[in-house]
Amino acid sequence: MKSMEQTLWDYLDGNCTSDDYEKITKLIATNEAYSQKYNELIGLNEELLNIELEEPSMGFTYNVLASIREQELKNPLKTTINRNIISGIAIFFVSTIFLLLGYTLYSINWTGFGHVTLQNLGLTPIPLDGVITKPLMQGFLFFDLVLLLYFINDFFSKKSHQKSQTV
Amino acid sequence: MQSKLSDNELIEQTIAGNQSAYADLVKRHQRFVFTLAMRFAKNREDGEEIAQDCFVKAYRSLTAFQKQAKFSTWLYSIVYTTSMTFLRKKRLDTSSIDDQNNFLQIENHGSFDVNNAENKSRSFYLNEAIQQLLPDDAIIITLFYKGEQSLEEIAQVLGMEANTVKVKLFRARQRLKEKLERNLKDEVKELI
Repeated sequence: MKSMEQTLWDYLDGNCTSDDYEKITKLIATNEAYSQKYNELIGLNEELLNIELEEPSMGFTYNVLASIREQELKNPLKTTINRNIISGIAIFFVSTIFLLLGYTLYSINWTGFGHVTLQNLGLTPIPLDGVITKPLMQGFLFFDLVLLLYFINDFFSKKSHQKSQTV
Repeated sequence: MQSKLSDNELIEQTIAGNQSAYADLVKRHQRFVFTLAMRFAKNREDGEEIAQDCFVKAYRSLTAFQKQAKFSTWLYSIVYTTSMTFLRKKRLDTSSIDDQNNFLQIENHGSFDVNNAENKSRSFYLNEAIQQLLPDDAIIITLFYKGEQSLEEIAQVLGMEANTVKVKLFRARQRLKEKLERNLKDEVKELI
């Protein structure tokens, strides 16, 4: 059972049927308590409709756009990574792995427990003799070392920047 | 001067790379978004921060906006979630929002000044009473009366059933009435 106040709010909000609407209109006209409550609620309703909205500072729009531009510099909207592309790449690699795994398992000659031999897949070996030399390996390791130092430096400079921002 | 284009037209222009179209959208909705943010934040600095964050988030997600609902409804749902996150960060207890005693007010937005009592209109007291409500109550009242949102749209913003919103709106108005009466009584007492 709805209270008088609830009934009147439904009436004011237009949330009642046409039959209810007529009944309540009659009640307001004839019943003193309903009439009094209705006048009280309609006053509050009007005041609520006339509430003033808050006004942000003058530079609000400018600040929003500046913040957007700042974020765009970090991660431009046009270069935002498309999730479909990422999913496509992931699906390609996962399916390739599974296909290769499947083909490999299919190619295995299961002669018995502990005696599994892999059949010739028909792949020609890449001739690497004379390609991987000692100076090449040293150069490769040196490049790795430089890369590692670069990332360590980047990591610590980011950390110190974050620290200085929180202080 | 604000643009006469519809929200959806401005969104299309923004997606096409016209940032001034987004500036028009911001100008159109900033007062309401800021008012909603203030219902949670209770001070202007935090309110502006939340509102700004909401517009940035909305911009970044514009391409995901399906246009099945009004832009304002979509934007207000961003405001609601952002504000709730803000409250959580502030470690305010919003889990039992029906318990008035649990609500911690950060700042009394409209503190009473006896000397200027005569300058205060009933609208001032109304705003003050809304500020004293729980965020959920305040936001439902604001969305219903100033946001041009139906009960169904408010339900969408808050992630609730329309019937729940109806009940919450009724309770919120009751609480508001009580606060208003109490505040006005206190004012009269102080003046006497």
